[in-house]
Amino acid sequence: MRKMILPIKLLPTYNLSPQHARFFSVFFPFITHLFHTLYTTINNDTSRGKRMFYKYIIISLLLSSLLLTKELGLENENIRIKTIDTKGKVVYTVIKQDIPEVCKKVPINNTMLWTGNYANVKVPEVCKSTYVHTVGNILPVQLHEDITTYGELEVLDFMKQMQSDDSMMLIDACKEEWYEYRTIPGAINMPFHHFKERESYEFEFEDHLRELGVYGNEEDDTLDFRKAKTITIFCNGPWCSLSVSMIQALLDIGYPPEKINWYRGGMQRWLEASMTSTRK
Amino acid sequence: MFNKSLSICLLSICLSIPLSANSGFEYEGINVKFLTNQGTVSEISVKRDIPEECKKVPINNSIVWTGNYANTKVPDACKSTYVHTTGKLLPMHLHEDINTYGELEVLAFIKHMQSDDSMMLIDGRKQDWYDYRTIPGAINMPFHHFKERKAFEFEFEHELRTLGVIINEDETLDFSKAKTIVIFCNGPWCSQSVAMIKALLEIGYPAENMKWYRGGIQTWLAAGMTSTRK
Repeated sequence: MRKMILPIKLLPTYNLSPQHARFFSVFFPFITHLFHTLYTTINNDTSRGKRMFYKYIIISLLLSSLLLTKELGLENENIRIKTIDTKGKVVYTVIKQDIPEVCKKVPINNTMLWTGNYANVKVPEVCKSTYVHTVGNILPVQLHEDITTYGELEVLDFMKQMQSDDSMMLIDACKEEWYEYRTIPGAINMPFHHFKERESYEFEFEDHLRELGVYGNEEDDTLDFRKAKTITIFCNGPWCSLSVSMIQALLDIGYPPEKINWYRGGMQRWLEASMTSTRK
Repeated sequence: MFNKSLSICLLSICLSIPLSANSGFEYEGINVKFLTNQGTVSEISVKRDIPEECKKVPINNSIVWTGNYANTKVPDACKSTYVHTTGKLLPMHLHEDINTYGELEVLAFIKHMQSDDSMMLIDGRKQDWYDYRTIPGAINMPFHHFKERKAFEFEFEHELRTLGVIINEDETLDFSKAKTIVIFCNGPWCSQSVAMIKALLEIGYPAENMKWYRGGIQTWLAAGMTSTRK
């Protein structure tokens, strides 16, 4: 699996996601060729004054094309995710960052962002959301040296690759009613307590292990993790320890930590970033 | 040395989480000295503040995730609202040698910083943002002084000295005494801290001496942590 460490040298004014890089690598030769053709035609056919005029237009077009690509991050790419609804039917959901037009006009200043209970009352409802900030326990960024902590972009990239790779799985560790209510599209539910209290949930636990590609060796009762899937686990937020106790249980039974990624931000960060969820 | 003690400290926190609700150094509070706008030194206890009434709020779907998420029944003291449509999402890691910090790592850093002058918490935003609301104990170094360092020569040099960078007579920079810094701005969608880190890397600031608090002010507040404004 590709590691998502972005070399900072590549960052222009904002961040440059792998999508930008891909966009450039695909379209850049084409664009430069087009401009080159235009440029030589103008050089041959027109007077000096006109030539300068066209040159400026070409340069400004080039510059603006660079600026336009800024919107083309992974989060704006409309990634189509395959999901299975409660009736077992396959449904497709498009995942993207949803920013209503009205929100683009909200000025970004202290009083808009950080007054009173933070977002200003003048900020339209669709541009803001409210979170309970007094629940749970804050978790560290790193759980284990071989477990990678993911952010929104890394989760998106994972989901994208997951669409064509059966050895990858996005897992919601919340209990079933939470999962049913609201989750990240494409996530599979594996309630944490089936792992934490695996003695009492023997059947569910074994079922999950099979789904994770873990098989038991019949002779000696050990588990075989050679085909274990690469998983990304999340729960309600960076204060939610359900995903942590699931990871702890997986490590206890010997699941390879390199195959576990942790989306610490969970549902709260996902919604704070205005990303698509399974409930409107 | 610091990293090792930090990781041990965090590991013990992580292990103690299932055992104890509302215990841990984020609830005990860390006394932080900071300069007020008037130039006087003030002290504030930085901690996670959970009002009594909030402890009674049940945690279920309709309380946490209805409508615009937090239920209208949740007392105002227990919830906060954020603009979720600004900025650009940032990756989890900027550079292989720059650690990304979360709230607990920032708190541990603030705690160590109280008795270690080689550590500094830096707010990378412009001054009016810093004056309005910041993390107690943070020092302001606006990102544009670094990004546009040609235009802000005076401020840039002053800030380099504050960072422990020695400017040699031949204009080269000596980073042997460069401080260990944590940089943050408005939120995980705010690229000002990124621009500052990028500029610092360009001038040769050691990457191992930089930490990035990606969550920024928004995530700090979303965890119910102390800020300089009530």
